[in-house]
Amino acid sequence: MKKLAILILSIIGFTACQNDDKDQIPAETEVNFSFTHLFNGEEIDLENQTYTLPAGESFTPRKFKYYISNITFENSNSGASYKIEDGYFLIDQAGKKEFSVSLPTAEYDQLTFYVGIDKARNLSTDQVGDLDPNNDMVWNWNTGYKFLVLEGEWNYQGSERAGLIVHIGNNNPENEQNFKAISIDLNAKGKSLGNKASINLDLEAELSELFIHPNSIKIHELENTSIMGGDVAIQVANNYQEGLFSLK
Amino acid sequence: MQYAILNYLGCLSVCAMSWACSTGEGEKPAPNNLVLTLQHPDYFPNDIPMPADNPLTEKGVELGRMLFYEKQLSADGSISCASCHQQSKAFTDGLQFSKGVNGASGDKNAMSLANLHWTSRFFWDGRAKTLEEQALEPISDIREMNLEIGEAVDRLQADKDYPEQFELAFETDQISPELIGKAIAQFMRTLISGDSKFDQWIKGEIELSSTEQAGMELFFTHPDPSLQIRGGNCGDCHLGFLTSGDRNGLLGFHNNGLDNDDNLNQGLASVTGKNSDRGKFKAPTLRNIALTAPYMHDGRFETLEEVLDHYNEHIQINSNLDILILEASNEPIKPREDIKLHLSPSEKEAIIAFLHTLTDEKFITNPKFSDPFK
Repeated sequence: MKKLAILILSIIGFTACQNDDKDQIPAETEVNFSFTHLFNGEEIDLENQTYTLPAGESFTPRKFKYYISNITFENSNSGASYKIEDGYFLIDQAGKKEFSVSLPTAEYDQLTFYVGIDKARNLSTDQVGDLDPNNDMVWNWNTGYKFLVLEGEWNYQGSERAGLIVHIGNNNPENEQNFKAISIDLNAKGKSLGNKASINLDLEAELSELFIHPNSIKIHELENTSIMGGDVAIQVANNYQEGLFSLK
Repeated sequence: MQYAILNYLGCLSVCAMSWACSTGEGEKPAPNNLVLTLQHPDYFPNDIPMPADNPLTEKGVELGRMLFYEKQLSADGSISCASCHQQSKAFTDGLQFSKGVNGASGDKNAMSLANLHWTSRFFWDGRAKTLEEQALEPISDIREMNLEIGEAVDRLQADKDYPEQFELAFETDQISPELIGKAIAQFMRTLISGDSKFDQWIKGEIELSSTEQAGMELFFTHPDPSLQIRGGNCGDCHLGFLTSGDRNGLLGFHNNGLDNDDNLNQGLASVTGKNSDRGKFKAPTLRNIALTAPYMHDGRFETLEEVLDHYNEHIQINSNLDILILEASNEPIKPREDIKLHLSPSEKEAIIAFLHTLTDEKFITNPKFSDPFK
């Protein structure tokens, strides 16, 4: 009797394995995003750790958070794509740095996501996902969200104590110039989607890039140490589009 | 601008229909003791779980309310929690420093008790990690109720009613400090203030006056003179609908420039041991702020006008001053100048008008929060 049971179990086991290998492509793929924030290659620490900005200034970060939204997967050959609807995720160095999305399984080799909130949602404040106005990311009730916030203590050549306050958002609903697409080639890192039930995408953000590529931003040359709009904010936004994120 | 507000209100009136919210988890159903869900406006954050080891229950809250008003918990039977946390004053006492037994005086202003489920770390210096832990401290503090906690347990155990009340609430008539803390914490969690004029505006039930509206916008805005954005910079610390500090770790503690380096009170540093936390205190909720004078951790300001004047023109520079205060002004900041917000008198008046919309008459008269012995 025991032998029979073992025999039956082996057959079931064997068949199951075969199914897994050949026919069983899951209907959905779960994509797990996680973000690591670095400063000059070290993971940032918000507890009194001082770093050197590219222009030689010293900086002790206290807060770093931003929104990821409008995540789209694409097949570069066929042009097919899938966009995650209503996906707005607040990534906070002091809080949550990961999230997951699901999409119908298909071959996708390109990923695009945005830093910030699209115009349609930015002023509606309708609390989809992490868009809770209690999250310390609304500028005020009329001007929408901050897309990216970096705050900390700043010092240059023994200057008086100052704060570096970077609040990038979009005060003007008519332009979207700080709402930036980040494109990632999944194929290049062997992370293309296809027949997997789940895949992990570990992204790194190197904060010094916010101050160098393609725009070199020297805080000590600015009129003040707050960047909350205008041309310098646009330069920072271009920098987060170009160099901030990379896929591990 | 108006479009944004309308759109926003549209959403919130829908949200407000689902008023109740379930946060209970891990509860074990006890006979004759209903597990309660915290009733609160749906636009308060909904993702904060109830402590798994202290679910809110009908009998627990009832017992907690009795203990909150119980004078036996002070050495000479003269005061209770409610002596320094009076409902009519949004659970403050109107004094700079509260009076303990034997006329003893502390050195901190009694904090308002409202919406405590949405805050973290208790006391001005954040020394209690949970409300359960907080609830016990004033009982044994020599400057407050001055009753050794073992003696408190003995007194309640010897009482004709309390053992039975604990049995109903916690299924044991063996009273312990832990259970006293749990019961008081349960009652305090029910102290929800969510029906002020501001709430009615959020729900789209009323309009604010133009002054209140202007004050609200100033309240929530960090100023940027280069973009001609004027702001009062209040919302940087008093966040969102709760107008209270950040829940995240110790981020809700700030040095708001009350003193220079030579006179900095330890504040959060007495808990963390870090020099950079000197002079940092909990950002309290501003709900019912018009009822909770005097202001600041040491009650140094008697009126809201004085508070606004402080932020506008009397900030003391010190090495831990919050950078969001350091870098906030409605005029271009010039190096080596005093820190000033440069709000106009009418802007200050508008902010104060908005602060008055946070007064919640139902909260201060709700019979569920009143003295059960009367």
